[in-house]
Amino acid sequence: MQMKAKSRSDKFFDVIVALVLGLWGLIILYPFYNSLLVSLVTQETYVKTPFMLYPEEITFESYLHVFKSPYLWSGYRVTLFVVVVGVAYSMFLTVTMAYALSRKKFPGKGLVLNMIIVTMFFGGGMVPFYLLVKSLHLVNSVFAMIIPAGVNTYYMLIIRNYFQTIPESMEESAKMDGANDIAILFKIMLPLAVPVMATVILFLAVDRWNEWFNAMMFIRDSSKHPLQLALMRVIQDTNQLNVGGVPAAQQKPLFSDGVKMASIFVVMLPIMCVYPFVQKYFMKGILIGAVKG
Amino acid sequence: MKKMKKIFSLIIMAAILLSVVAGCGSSGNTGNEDKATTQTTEQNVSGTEATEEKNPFEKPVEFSFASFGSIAEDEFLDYVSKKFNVKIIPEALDWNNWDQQVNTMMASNDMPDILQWDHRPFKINMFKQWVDSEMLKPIPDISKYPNLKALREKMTVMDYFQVDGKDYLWTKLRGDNKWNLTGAMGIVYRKDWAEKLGMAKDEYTLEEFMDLAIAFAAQDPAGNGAGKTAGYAEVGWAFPYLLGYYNPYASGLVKIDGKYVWGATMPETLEGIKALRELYKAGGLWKDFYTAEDYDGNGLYMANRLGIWADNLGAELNKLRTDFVNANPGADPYKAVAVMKVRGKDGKYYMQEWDNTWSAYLYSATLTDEEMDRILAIMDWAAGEEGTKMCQFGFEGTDYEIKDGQIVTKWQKDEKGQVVKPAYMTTADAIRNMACLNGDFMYTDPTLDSKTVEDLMSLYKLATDYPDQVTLAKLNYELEFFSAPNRDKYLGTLGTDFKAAVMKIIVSTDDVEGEFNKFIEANQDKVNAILKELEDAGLSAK
Amino acid sequence: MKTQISAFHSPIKTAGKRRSLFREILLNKYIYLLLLPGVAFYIIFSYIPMYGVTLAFKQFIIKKGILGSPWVGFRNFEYILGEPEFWKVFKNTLIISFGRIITGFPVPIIFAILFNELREGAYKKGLQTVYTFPHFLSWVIIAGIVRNLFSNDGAINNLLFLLGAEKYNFLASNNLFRPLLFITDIWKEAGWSSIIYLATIAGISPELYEAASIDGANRFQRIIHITWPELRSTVVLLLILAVGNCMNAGFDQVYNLYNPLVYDSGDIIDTYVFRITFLTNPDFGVSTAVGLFKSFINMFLLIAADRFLKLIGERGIY
Repeated sequence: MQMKAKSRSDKFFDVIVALVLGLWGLIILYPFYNSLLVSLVTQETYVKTPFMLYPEEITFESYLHVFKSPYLWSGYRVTLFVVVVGVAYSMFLTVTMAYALSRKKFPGKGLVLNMIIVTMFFGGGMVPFYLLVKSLHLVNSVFAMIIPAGVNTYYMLIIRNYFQTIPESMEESAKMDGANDIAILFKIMLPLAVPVMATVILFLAVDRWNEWFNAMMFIRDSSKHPLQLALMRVIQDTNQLNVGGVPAAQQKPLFSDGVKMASIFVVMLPIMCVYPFVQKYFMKGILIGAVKG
Repeated sequence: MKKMKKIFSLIIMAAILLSVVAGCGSSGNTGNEDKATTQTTEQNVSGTEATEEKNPFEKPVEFSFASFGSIAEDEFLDYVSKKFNVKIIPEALDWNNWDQQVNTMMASNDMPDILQWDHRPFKINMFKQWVDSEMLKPIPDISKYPNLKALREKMTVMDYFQVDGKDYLWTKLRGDNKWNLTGAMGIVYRKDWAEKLGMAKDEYTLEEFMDLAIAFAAQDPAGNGAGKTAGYAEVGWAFPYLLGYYNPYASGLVKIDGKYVWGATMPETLEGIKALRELYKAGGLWKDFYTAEDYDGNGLYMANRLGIWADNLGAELNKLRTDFVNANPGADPYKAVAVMKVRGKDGKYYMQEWDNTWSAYLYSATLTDEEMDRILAIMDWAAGEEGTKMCQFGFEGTDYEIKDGQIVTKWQKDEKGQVVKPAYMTTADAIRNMACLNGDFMYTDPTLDSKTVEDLMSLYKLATDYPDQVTLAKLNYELEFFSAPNRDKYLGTLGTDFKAAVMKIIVSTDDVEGEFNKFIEANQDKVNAILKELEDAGLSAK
Repeated sequence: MKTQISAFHSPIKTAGKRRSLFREILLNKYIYLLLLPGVAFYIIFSYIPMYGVTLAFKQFIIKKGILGSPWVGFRNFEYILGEPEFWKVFKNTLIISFGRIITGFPVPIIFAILFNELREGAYKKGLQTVYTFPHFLSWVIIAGIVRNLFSNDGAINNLLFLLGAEKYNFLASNNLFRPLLFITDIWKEAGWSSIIYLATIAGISPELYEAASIDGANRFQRIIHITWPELRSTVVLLLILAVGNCMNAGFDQVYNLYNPLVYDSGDIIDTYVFRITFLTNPDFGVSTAVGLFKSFINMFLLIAADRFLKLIGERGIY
């Protein structure tokens, strides 16, 4: 795309923006870099210099410990499954609802909207929820992480909001061509909402990827535990619950902070690998083709 | 893309319907499901049984076991499974959300067969509700399990949990102190630093102790640089341990001459807080103690930046010494982590009585008598001589052998001098934990340094051997298990609030008396209400 | 059933007479079809367990179940709300939440606008990725970092000492605690939160910007007249939702960062309730009552925010 030559003030502004954003990036990066280092050094090194600039010697023992843990690989598998199925399931429920509620008016709209907003505030609490999950035979099933997490009202409202900003003229002309609401949703609305869709898919995926609470409450079988929970267990074990008396099985002393940091990166890395692919949906002008079509 | 979405969404809809309708639960065991066993092959216990007796383990039994132990499918589990003809299904518990897990499971009537529970006395009302709802199975007559019987007799706290004369839970004996109820709270210090400063002694008075702490911080024996060495720190959950030298009952209520009194109002408490404030100002008390996590001070100690550390030595002393040598190769652990003997103002040592159990097991009412019997049989074996030996030393021949009547382990040490045990020893540990904790292992643990054991034993025996030399903060089951509305609501929090107030005063103000009086005034009504309830219950003289 | 008057007034539909209800439903049948799965979900997972709310007014006796437990009126509410300290932490909760909104809410928007001005390329993409990192750290770890920086022994105090100044107990200061909450929250979440705004303005055609600049508009004017209008409705929505979440002032964050010295300014409802029920017999009735109280206040705040924003011309939630 041809851009007209920028004025001087424009160029100056560009530089400032790049600098400011870059500075903030550094502020974020240092503690993160520090965490990375902690995951790569031994306890002795950490204890002497918690705030090091570069590591004297690198060791992978924290990572090894994490990867040797019995439920790590099953954790990855379970989490992958939960993300793929869960996001598809949630998106389906969320998008249909968001679109329907974005339509101007129809009988019952206010009722449904109110009903949903009420659920954002009021809930029955843990015990009825547990009983419900139990009655649906979801206890000890990986679907306990997927099905109850169907619609995130927050995200639904965001998508709905975006649908509401799409000019009605589009809908009108499609209707005149004989399309029904469902066709409009798929042929017009979705392509126009690609960036927001991508965002919500990203949010949902990350939420599912980090899921542990439902698994902790409902899944007894450790081989069905998601990644986060498996890692929490690893960290829990390194704290060597020395309770009451002297523990008989004196395991090798472990560097619990190192393991904690290593587990963060083990969780984050896959997401960071996928993120650049999602980013292209946030590029400027991504919708040009869609609008013209 | 859109078509894919359509197809995808149809599949998902179908999946949801299927799972909801057909009950897409998996093959996991939930507590209340029918206990149909899966093992069909009958197995006899190895041929040492007398053949006239009917095999007591003829019927295979399966049960789920939720605890903090790690049980893996290894040789040890295999041995136990074959010996008792059982299948143990381990379930994990989450340390940070333990209470929530247990409370929700019980409130939803969906507990595993065996569930580990923190049985602190203030939860007794909830416990009684569980019994009342018939969710728990009582422990049957254990006279045919001699080891369990012996354990039961030592665990007096279980008497307080009895309902209609029956035990509905099994607490786990700590076992580390064979002589009395003294807990292993103690102090370790850098004896080498003290020697360097010419302040080394066999025993310290409270004043000398504080002087030492201040000197450590000021004179920096390890050469860390100005202001980088801390004098004294405590493990977070024990704060304010040092205050116990002034008044062991400062944070709660204590019965004096038949009448309950609020510890905070006793003059010794104020005196102690003032002393702690001075210690903090003079640099003796670690400056960051109020923001740190519980074991941060431990890290400092290992980094040669802390001189004195108070902790649960029973659980930690060995670890402290091994960790220290790991962090500082070539160091002398007995000098670097020396047990400190401190005498209070009354010239006595200060020790705390702790309950001799830690956490307990609840047993689901859905267990059959036969299953319960099998579980008790395993527990009895684990608590008995043979089981204890196996759980601690492993398999004869592979892990140890008997030479001249003594057990000699065959385990090797690694390059850091740590004994390397086979992985199944963790399972062995967890199995023994079904009956009791392994605190008593320390007397025969080959990996535990003998001098460390000696140090601990002398600590435990102090209260028995030299009772007149020890101020013992005594346990008060009467108060712990007393239940009344105000007591339930305010007593526990009173302790936490006291600690917070003391922390605040130590760090931020010189007007110790004024600020502390504010705390007392703010809580006086609540305490009065509790005292009145105690009076009305006849526990406190009027 | 309320009929909505939306900003986009369609000329075709409102001309003509009122239709009958039945015809309306038939006309919108596909909408109802689309609505069905979501509504089913909410009914199953939100409304069926809703009876648990009654626990706030009951004494939970496990044997009788929730429905059979006896009513005790407002006793559970009094248990917590009757304590004078509660209203202090209630005030803290409001102050902290609103402070969080005032300081933290604009930051992701600004980031999104600035990012939008950047040229596409590796720098932009890389920076964007880095901005999302802190979102993945837990507050436990961030608290550790804060301590490493601000404790008596931390980097900042060591620097002060080196410069000859006195060390300062940053973490004991009531005045600094709330700013600490705000700043760490921005540090952790601003980058992640900016994604939604970025996505909203990604759809703007670059030709619009070009046309505007040809007409002589400078950077700021282009941002105000092109970028901002696209963002507006999303900003309004998220603002309303943020206000409707005020009673949850961030338990994880406060719990990990606070200590007894900053209780005065930092204690929020959730941490306070946690502390006073920590060593008492667990009571589902009390925790439900507190939750219910918070829910009502939240809902009230949300409706107020919605009304207020509608008053100044924005489209609210309803």
